[in-house]
Amino acid sequence: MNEQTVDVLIVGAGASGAAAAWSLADTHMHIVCLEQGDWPDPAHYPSTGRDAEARGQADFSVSPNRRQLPADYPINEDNSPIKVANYNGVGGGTVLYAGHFPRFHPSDFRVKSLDGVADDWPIDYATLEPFYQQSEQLTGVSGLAGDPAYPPKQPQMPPLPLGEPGQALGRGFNQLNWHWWPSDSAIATEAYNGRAPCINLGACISGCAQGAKASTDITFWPEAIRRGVELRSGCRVREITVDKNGMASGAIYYDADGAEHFIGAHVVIMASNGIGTPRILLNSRSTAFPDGLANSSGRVGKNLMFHPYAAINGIFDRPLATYKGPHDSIWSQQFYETDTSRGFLRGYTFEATRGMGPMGTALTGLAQGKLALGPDHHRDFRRLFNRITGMVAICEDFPELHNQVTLDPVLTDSNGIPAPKIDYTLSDNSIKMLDHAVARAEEVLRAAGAQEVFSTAPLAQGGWHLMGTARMGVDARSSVVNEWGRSHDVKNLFIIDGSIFVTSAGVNPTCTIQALALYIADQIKNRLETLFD
Amino acid sequence: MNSTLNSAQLHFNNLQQQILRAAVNTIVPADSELNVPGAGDTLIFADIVASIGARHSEINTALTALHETSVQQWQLAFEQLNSVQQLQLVHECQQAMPEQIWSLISVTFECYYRDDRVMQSLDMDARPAFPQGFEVDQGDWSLLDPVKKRAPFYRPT
Repeated sequence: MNEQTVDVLIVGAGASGAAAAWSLADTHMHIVCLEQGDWPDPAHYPSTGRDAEARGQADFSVSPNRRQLPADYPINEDNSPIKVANYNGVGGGTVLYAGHFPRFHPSDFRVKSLDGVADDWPIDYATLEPFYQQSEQLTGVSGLAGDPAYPPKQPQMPPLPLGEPGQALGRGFNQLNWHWWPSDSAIATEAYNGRAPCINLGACISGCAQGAKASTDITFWPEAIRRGVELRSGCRVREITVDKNGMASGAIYYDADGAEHFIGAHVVIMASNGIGTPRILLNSRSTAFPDGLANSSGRVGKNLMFHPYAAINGIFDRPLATYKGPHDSIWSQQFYETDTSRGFLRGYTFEATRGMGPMGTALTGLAQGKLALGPDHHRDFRRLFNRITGMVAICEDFPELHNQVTLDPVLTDSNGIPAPKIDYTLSDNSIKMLDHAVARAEEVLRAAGAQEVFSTAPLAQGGWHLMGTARMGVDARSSVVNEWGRSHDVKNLFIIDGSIFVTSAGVNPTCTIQALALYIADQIKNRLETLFD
Repeated sequence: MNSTLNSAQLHFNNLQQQILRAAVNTIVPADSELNVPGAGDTLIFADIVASIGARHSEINTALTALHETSVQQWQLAFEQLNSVQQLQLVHECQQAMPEQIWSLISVTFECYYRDDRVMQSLDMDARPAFPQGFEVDQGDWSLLDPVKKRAPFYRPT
């Protein structure tokens, strides 16, 4: 074992780890980040080849169980209708996300007070607002000011083009007098901080070869490293160690060759996402913490939230250029805030999805029973290709103790570390919300001119958003970290990723994950002299 | 016959390749009106064989089932059946072993729809998306005018 002690150890180089590293670089402390994956190589992203769609189902699949790359750890998700989507490498999930970059709404932090469900956050929208601005500024967001669904905010760049699909859906929403707006997207529509503008490759969720989509390997990390942060890729953390005083003392990790190392640290920051962080904490058992580190509340791994997704598409009678352009386009928050007459609490966002390439069209058409094999195949295919567009509904999920991450008793990764096991069921509220979303989406697609509509709910491979498994709160009996991200149990241990979410909202979480990480890093900087009190 | 369809093999032997070629041609046949090849076309088929990779075992199971069912029902090898019989058998096996047949179909679609001739028949550029990219119309932003007139509707806290 090598031994070295640093000031700050960050575990994970995705959205939150990158943002915290960037912010904490101000302190000139010795900061090291351990990342189990490698740097992505945009020169080899799928859109550079003819096999882009196929690679999106293989080495660039969002499912680690399908990718099975050396950096990936297996996940037992047999007991969950929603499967985990992630990316293990520098940039984390931002490498394979679509780039949607919405803020939470003020009401999202107050669901208990407003609607009597789940819990209020210990912080509010106003607390996070300056960090939302910072997150957006560093990321570079395209969009349009004036969205009536939100308090005022100012995107850095003009919105992504509507294109034919956006226009069709915009007309449909207008006919129903429903809200819609250009999506806030982490995709540059102009040159921005060294990034080239979007050229409509259409493969955002397989990595952006153009560099227009903001993933933290090309946003926060280069600047953090220039300012002295050390990022070690290919280093998989097995456990966080503690000293005799019950303080975190560092981490044991494996390098890419499988050699075991120890790194000491005065401060440890967990940034390994809503599955990876509880996995490591639960695997960090000691005499002082027999149930896993920072787990006196028993909440580590509990309250797992995904966003249940529905995908609803329409078949149109004219070409819509659906395979060109980024996935992001427009969204609707007509059904975002609670209306009890709908039969469920809280709500969802519709996000338009443009369309699919030919392979995706063929597989979707077959799965939906709309594409023949044999002599009729070509006729059916030409009725579908370039004519399918629609949306996903991203539904707010509630925290429930039985939805959880535990350590699998048998399955391990290539280093012998126990794999996470997911147990998750859809709540009655989620099922009703999905049903409502599918019905409303069909209305808007019909109003937009769709001849046929088909849907899938829940979307099985839709577990992009991993939240709630080490929640934030003021009560140490029911939460893992306090209102500024510090563990209640271990005063030099911080958690900054989606694990600390109290509720999920009904929007993509990356902007909020980065804002929270920047907020917690700011708290650390402002409290340095009393950080462990 | 079964001994030549050993699922432990890493590569397809001649018999397996014959069945595979007939199967992919059944899934996507040529169309003379559209002037497009079938998936058993020499170039496309070579791409399919080269792309099977980790799906080898599943696809081999599918081929074995096609062959054995064909012999059982028609006393003929799958590739000797007429196109109607072949399609019927593909559908039967799809019911019996959906995952394996899905693998066969997915690799067929994957390679078929990246062939130059097929892409051109769909008015697509036969090239990777990067670095040239695509043009996308801005669209009519005046469509947003009625939404701009709405009062804010987020809930105050």
